[in-house]
Order: sequence, then structure tokens, then C-alpha cells
Amino acid sequence: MKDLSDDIIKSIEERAVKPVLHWQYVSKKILFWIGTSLLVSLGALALALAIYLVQSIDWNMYSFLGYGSLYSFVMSAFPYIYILLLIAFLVLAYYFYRQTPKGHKINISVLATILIIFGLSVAFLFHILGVNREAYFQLARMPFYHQMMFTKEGEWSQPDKGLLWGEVSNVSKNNFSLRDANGKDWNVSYDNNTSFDKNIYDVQGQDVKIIGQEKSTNDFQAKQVRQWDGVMNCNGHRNMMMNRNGMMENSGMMGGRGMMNWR
Amino acid sequence: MSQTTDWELIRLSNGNPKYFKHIVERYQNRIFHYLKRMSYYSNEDVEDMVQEVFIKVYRSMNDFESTDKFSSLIYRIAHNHLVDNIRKSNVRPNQNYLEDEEAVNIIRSEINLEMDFASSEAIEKIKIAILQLPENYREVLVLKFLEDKRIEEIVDILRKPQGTVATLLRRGREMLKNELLKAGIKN
Repeated sequence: MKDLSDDIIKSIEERAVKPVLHWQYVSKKILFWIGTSLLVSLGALALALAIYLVQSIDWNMYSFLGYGSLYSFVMSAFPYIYILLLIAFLVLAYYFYRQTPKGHKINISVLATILIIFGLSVAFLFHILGVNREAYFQLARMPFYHQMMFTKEGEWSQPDKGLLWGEVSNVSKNNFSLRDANGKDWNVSYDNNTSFDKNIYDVQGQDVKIIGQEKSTNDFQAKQVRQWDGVMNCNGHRNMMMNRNGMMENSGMMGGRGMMNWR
Repeated sequence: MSQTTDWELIRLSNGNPKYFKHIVERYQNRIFHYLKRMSYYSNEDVEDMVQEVFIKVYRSMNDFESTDKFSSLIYRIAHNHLVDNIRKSNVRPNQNYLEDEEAVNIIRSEINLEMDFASSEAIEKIKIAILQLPENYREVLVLKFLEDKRIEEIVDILRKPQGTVATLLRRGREMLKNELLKAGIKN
């Protein structure tokens, strides 16, 4: 081959080729690192949200919802979307990491394992810190969210199946008023056979969840009345009865396991 | 300038392309042969590619880190340029530009064939077998046996993990050996 060095230098000078500035490369590298971290965090958040959903749903209500077994209920209500999001974000994080300067050196299986372990750790951290609960609270205020996902709020908004959730008012000897998440007012009756986890007069102005039977368009017969243990009240505000750890204040109930003793 | 390291030349070239001439002089032959071995282009076309590769090297010099091996960086740019060119033209190599000795060098680790004893017919079969290998296998073999690159350097040139490169190398050799056995060339 002929010596090309003079031609190349001439070409560089004629075309006024300039080296790309160092900071542009540094910015690009930083962007890929930020992108990788962000995607892993998003994947972890998706997993933490899935954990919160699984923890908050009252799984033993499956018979009221028409499921033949707990297994079929779990299969139906499992938050697959979040698991798919977790996988999608981790795959994207993998490709972002590959673009970092040394990203090509790590073996695919090693890198995938590191990303999965890191994602699980961050998800666990989000869960401990309550980040997933806060994220769920923001998402749960969107009306379409309960149509897309099987949520605790959706679970208890099925009066036709005997599950009702709302804010208590006007308590009298045999009934009380209740406004549900859709703003619909109910007249809820109770009798000596109705069980309560707290005195009904003490939960005026608070949210409760009820197992019972829809009698007519606005009438509901209560069999069991329990304090609401969701993160959001039916008026869309934060449930102040839950502390930062997801525990019910003034009761021994866990946020997501309050109905464990229900039959 | 012959004593000056690549990195010093790169530092001097930044802002003064005249120093870059020495980098080109050091590497142009190696890059020319690498591109020639991996492509189906004529000498003139490969020379044009070499020019473009070095202009890219000049443009990218601020991206280089002195912890990297400089020759690997040039090869990487050449590899990417070649991949882009082949993709754009959408034409696979249908001729073989390997020298007889180069073809024998690639298969030497698999088959005990001495150049002096190899018939022209056998060498032609070897060349065809090498040409028929999928491009990613062929490239790893060329880098390893003709460009004398270590696995770590191939990792940096192709930006593939070490395990992947080792697998490509092993499978490429196996495929080549099978092809040669089918063609009746035995050790």
C-alpha cells in the first residue's frame, strides 16, 4: 500500500476536523452511568410496588370474589405488570451499562446477576424506607390505576360481592352512613351478629372495610366491620391511621394483614 | 519521534495534526491489512477506508484513556468502520484476500499442515472454508492468528466479554476444522 499519512493530514486540515472535546465524552459516560442507575432504581421501584401490592391485598377474600381457590386468586391478582416492568428496566440497564467504558468486559451472566442482586437490594431498601408505599399512594389516586391493577382499594369496592369500603358518619344504634370511594352514600345496617374490631362510635369520620351483603342500591347489611388499613382513604387523602411503617395506629393490625382473622 | 510513545504523540496531536502523521505512519499498514483481510474491497477502497479510520481516530482522541492499549483503540475504530461499511453496502464478502501463508496460519493450531507441503488446491479449500465462516468467528480468528492480538485486546477491539470472545474463538476453530475435514484435509 502507498503511504497515506500526508493525504490523511491534508484531509484533516482541509476538512477542518477537530477532536471532539473531552467534556463531551465525559458527559456521555456520566449519562450512561446515570441512565444505568436510574433504570435499576426504576426496576427496583417496580418490584417494591409489586411487593407492596402483594402485601396489601387481603388474599383470604378470594371466596367472596368468586375464586374457587386461593391459588386461582393469586394467579389472577398477581402484579405481573410490575414484574414485567422490572425485567424491562433491568434489560435496559444492562444495555446502558454495556455502553460505559469498561461495560463490555463483564460477562453477560455475571453482569445480569449483579444487576438482579443490586435491583433486589434496592427494592428491599425501598420497601424498608416506605418508598413503595408512597409511590403506591400517588399511583392509587389515579382512577385508571385500579382498573389496570388488582388493588386493595379495588378489592374492597365491590359491594355486589359483599365487600365495601368507605368513610363512616352518622352512627346510630342499628346503622350508620358510609360514603365510598366513588362518592356514593350507603346506609349500612348492623345487628348483634355483626363483629367489630373497634367500637363503631370510635371510627366516625374514619374509613372502614365491611364484609356483608348488598341489600339494595344504597343499602348494605354488615357482617364484619374492620378499620381500613389501606394507604389511601376513600376521599383520596393519606390514611392517617397508618404510621410510617405501614402499621395501624392504636391497633395491633399490620397494614396489609388486617383481615387475617376474617373467615 | 520514533522514541515518542503513542500517548505522547496523541497529546501533541491535540491541536496540531502534524504530530498525528507519526501515529498514521506507525499503524497504517497494520490497519490496511486488517481491513483487507476482513473485507472484499479493492486496495483503493481499503486505502479510502484507512483514511476515514484515521480521521475518526483523530476526532476521537479525547475519548482515549491512557490505561487502554492504544493499538486496540485504533483497531476498534477500524472494526466499527468496517461493520458500518458492510452494513451500508449490504454485500457479504465473496472473494478471499488472504495470502496463502495467512490461510495456513489460521488453521495451523487445528491441523498440522506445513506451508511447504500444502498443495495449492488444499490452500484454496482452506481459504474457502475460512471465507464461509460467519463474520464474527472469522474476525476473532483473524485478530488472534494474523494480527497476533491477545484475548484481552480482542475483548477491547470487539467490545465483547472475554467469555464470548473465547467461545467465538473455540467454536470458530471447531467449525473450521469440521469444514476442512469435510473438504478432505486431514492432519
